[in-house]
Amino acid sequence: MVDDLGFSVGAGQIVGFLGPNGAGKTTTIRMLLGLSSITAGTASLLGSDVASGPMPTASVGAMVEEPAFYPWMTGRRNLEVLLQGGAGAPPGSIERAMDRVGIAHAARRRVKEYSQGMRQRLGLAAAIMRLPKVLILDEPANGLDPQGIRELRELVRALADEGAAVLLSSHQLGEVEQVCDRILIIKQGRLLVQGDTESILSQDARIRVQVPRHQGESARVALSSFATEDVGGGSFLVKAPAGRLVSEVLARSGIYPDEVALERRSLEERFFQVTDEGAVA
Amino acid sequence: MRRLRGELRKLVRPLVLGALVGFAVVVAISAAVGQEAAAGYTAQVQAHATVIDTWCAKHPTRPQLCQEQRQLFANNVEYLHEVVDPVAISQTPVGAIGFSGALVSTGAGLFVMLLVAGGHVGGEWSGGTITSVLSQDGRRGAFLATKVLSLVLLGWLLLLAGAVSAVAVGQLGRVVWHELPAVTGVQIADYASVALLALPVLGFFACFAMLMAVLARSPLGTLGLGIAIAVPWTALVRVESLEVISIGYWVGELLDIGRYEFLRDHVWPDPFTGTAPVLAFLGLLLGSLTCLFLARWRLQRMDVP
Repeated sequence: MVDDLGFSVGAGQIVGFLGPNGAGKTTTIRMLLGLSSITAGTASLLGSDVASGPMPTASVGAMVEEPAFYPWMTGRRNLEVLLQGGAGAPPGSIERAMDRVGIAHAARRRVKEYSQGMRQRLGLAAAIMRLPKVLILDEPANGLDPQGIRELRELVRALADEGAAVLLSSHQLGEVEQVCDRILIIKQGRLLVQGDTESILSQDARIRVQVPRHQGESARVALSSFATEDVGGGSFLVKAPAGRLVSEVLARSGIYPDEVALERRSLEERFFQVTDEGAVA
Repeated sequence: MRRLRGELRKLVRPLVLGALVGFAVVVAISAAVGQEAAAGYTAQVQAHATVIDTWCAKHPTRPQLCQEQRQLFANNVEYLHEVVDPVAISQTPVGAIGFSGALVSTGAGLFVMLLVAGGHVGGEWSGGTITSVLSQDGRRGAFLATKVLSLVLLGWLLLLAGAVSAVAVGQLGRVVWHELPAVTGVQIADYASVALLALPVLGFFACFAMLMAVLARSPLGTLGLGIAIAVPWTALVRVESLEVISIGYWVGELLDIGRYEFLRDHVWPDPFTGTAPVLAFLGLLLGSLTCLFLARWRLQRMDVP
């Protein structure tokens, strides 16, 4: 169930699509791909209305959850029949895609012999083999080893750099934080937060100030105009618009900090903060 | 065309190969059993002729009785031809193809089609591949059309597999059961037409199996649901007022299958009163279109899991 959810993904952008289990991420993706019906509202891919017009399949690549394949066929044959089932692709697309996701060596092995990670990579190859303009990935890192996750990150970044619009649904918040330009967080089908990754993470960011221990009391007084948390040992967490302001205030009191650093929340912290509050943006 | 090639490649799998081989074996066994029975009956009738000749030679004073015996024998020979000629025809290569066409149009053919459609279509859901397939191309009408077409082609391949098997058994049978009477080219040509008439029957079977697969969305479900619906639908032929809408009527009338005695244990009732092959053909066509319409209607309104 998805309600009043609106967002767009631009060319060359990677948008992280986050939410707890049952939030409606996969439902949204299925609606975008025409797999589930849309009861109200509109969704469009590359200007084509998903509900009424034919999906521009040649330009859209997708992987929904754990991809399934025909176990009696080889990996390559699976991609061939999927390619034959939709719009065509330039010669060599399958080889390039398999090479790009790191399973070229297993192209002639039957899928039933693949590990879960290899099947996941094959799903990625299926999604990217047409060099799509829109790439929709639902939990693409499931079953991937750390090396695979890093390669996935690099692959998604490279595709976006080539101009693809990428919608990435994932529970791997660390990966999303590293690779996504924008983030959407939904819960119970409703949008809680959307915005640039940087601005979302910087929200509620604090300045960590370290002053010489013997100047701690003076610093506490000087920083009283800000919401300040005394962490102890001459260390303070200051809620201020910029580190420069904090430095200036301290300098006016003759205090020269050893360290001034922006301490922002991790995406994980921000995610839990947003979803626990459940406030609609 | 490219999409159809993809569907045909999906059919290259153990299940389909097993179904083809299994059907070929059924055809071979059926042909061999029929030929053996027909040869036995022929030998029996021929032995009877010798008995009559001997009796008549020993009793020259009783020509009336001898004449009656010979008349009875002539009736037996007529019946012999009626029963055995189709079997003799099936020993020829062209006749063997007709034999395969007749058998593929029975419940055996429908069973195989349901089995294959269960894996080929229903398996897309149970195996989860439907999501990948429709993500590549969301046109469900095209999905349905290529699936049905691939099933029709598979049905024709089934007919061919059965024909190869029947030809082989026929050639072997000419050596082993050579007592069968000679048949004419006209008889053979008439009988071989069954193979051509089986093509639209297989088209209907494909559409019906497709509908069952879309409704059941699993291999076993397709088979179970298909049998549960096909049996009573076929049995409607027993109800005089409804026979015209039964599968039994459509197939039986179109192929005039009841006259082939070697198939007397088949699922279709015989003989049918009157001949209405055109009506039967229209029934098959309408049945196929209805199945396709329902399958498409269901598919369009279905959320892919």
